[in-house]
Amino acid sequence: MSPYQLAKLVEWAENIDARKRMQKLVFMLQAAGCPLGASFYLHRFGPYSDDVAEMTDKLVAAGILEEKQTSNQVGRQFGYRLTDSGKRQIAEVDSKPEQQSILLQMERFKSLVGKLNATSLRELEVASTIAYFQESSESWEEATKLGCGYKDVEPETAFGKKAESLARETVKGAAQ
Amino acid sequence: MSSKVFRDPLYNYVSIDLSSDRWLVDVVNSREFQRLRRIHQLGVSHFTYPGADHNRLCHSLGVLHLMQLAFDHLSQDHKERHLEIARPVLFAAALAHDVGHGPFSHLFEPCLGIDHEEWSQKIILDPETDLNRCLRMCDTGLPQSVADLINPKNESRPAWQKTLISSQIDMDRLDYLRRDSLFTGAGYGHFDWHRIITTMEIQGDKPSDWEITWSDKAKLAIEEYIFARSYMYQNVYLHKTTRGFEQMIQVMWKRARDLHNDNSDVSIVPTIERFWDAKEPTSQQYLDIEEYTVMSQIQAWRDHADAGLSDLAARFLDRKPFSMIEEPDAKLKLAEGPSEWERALKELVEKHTEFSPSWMYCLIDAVKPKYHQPYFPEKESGEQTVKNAIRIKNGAQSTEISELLPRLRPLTEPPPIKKRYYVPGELRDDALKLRSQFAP
Repeated sequence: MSPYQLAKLVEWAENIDARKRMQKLVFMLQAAGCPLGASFYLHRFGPYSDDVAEMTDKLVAAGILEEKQTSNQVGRQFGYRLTDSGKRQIAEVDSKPEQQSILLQMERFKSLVGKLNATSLRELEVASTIAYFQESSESWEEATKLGCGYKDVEPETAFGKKAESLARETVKGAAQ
Repeated sequence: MSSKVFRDPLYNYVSIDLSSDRWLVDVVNSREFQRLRRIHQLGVSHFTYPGADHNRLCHSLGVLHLMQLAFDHLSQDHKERHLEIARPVLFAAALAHDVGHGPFSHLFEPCLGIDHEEWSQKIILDPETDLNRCLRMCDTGLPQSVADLINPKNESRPAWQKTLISSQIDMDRLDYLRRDSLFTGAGYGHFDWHRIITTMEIQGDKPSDWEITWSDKAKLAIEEYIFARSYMYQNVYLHKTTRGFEQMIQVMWKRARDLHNDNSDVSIVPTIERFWDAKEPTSQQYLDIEEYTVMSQIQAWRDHADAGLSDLAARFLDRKPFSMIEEPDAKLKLAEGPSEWERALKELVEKHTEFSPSWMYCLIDAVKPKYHQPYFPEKESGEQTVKNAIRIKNGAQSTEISELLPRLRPLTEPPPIKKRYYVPGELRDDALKLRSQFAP
C-alpha cells in the first residue's frame, strides 16, 4: 500500500481511535475490493498486516499523521489523525491530474470507511475474522463457524449475527 | 545409543539420534535437501565478503540443532503438556524450511517471479519429490503438517510451534545471524543464544492458546540478539556493493526475459527455457535451476550480441560494481511516481548513448522498511501476539520487551530510508554533481 492511500483513509475517517481499527479497516476495505495491496495474516486478534503497521509508523515519522496514546483495559492504545502538514500534502497531491485515477479508484469506498470507523472494535475484529475465513471457505456458513469459533463468539447470538452481517455486506460490495 | 553426526563450525557437532529420529537422516540424504549444498546462504555477499561461501544445507542443519535444543528444553520444562507429538513436525520443518530457495537464495526470487516459501511448500507436498517420500516414511500426514507449519498464512498449527520456526525470534534467525557473522568475518552476530533457548517458556491454559514467552532473565540476551540483527543488516545484508550486484543480476534477467519474449535468441540454457516456457512449472523444473545454471547462463551472455546484456554479464563476472549514489532526500512523499531527482538521474544516463538501454544502467534499490528495523513490535497492547512482539513473562501475563527495556525503542522506530541508485562508475562524478543540486 502506498503512503497516499493510507493517509487518504485517515482523512476520510477524520480520526482512527486505535491501531486495531486501522488494521481491521484496511482488511475490510480490501475484502470489499479496494486495491490497497497490504498483505495480511491471521493472529489471535483477527487479520493483521505488518505493511499497515509499518506504513502507519512511517506516516507518523514523516509528520503526516499525528499519534495519540491512550490507555484501555489491556494497556496502550494509539489513535491517529492527519496533521495540518498532512492535510496540505494530501490536498496538493489530489490536485495533480495524474492522481485522479487513483483517487477515483478509492472514492467509492469513502462511505464504507465512515461506516467501519463507527463500528465497535470488537464487532470489527470478529467481522474481519469471518471475512478472512471466507476467502478460503466454501460457504458463508462455514466462514462464520470458523471465524466465530476462532474468536470464541457464539454465531447464533445477536452479536455473532451482527458481525456476520457486517462481513457479508462488506464482501458483497466487492462482488458488485 | 548411536547417532549420525555432522561437524559444524558453530556447534561443533550436530547430531541425529538414530534410535528415535533415523528417518531424519533420509531427509538429509534426499535429493532436494542435498541441492541446498549448492545454494549460497547469502546470495552474492561473497562478492563483498570473500568468506561468505557457506550454503543453505549447513544452515538448515544448524536450525535442526537449535530446534532439538529448544524442543528438549520445552519438553523437559512442560512435561504436563505432552509436547512429544510435535517432535517430527518441528524437526522436519527445521530441516526442510528452505528447500524452496532458488539460486543465490533470496536475490533470485524476483528474477523467476517466485516466493521461496511457496516453493518449499510445493516441494514438500509434491509426491514426486524424494523429500516428500522421506517424510511420508515417517508419517503419511507429515508432508502436510510441515507445509502448514512453514506457511505463514496457515493457522492450523499451534502458535507455539509457529514461533519456533518463523517469528521475530525463531531458530532460523538464531542460526543464520551467527553463521553469517562467522563466515563473512563481520563479527557482529554475537549474542547469548543458549540463554535465549533455555529461558523459553510456554504460557497459556488451552493448547490452542499456548504461546512462547521468555522469562525475565532472558531479556538482556534478547536485547543483544536485536542489536546483533541491526548490525548484521547494516553491515552485511544491506551492504551497498552486494545490493548493487543483486540489482545487476536482476536487470540482466529482465533484459533476457524481454528479448526471449520477443523471440530473440538469448542463448538460453535448456533448464531455464523449460521453466520460462512452462505455464505452471513442476517442482523438478524449478529445482533444476541451480547456481551453476545461472552462472553458466551469465557466461553465455558475456559474448551475446545484445550490448547491454553482454556488458553487464562481463561486469558481473569480473566483479566490476556500479557506483552507488544515495537518494538526496529521505523525506516520505505522498505523490506516486518517481521524484524529480530520479527523473533527472535517468535523463543523465539516457544522454550517454553508450549505456543502452538506459534502464539497465540506472538501477534502483528500494529496501523494504522492515529490513531496516531489526525488531518490529506491534506497540498497541490489544494487537500484540507472539507473531508481532517478543514478550517477557510477567506472572500470568507478559510484557513486550521494549516496554521493559526502553533503550530498545529507537530500534523499533522506522528510520529514514534513502533509496540507492546504481550507475556505471564512468557516470559517478556527473551523478554526484547532479545530486548536490537536490540536496536538502
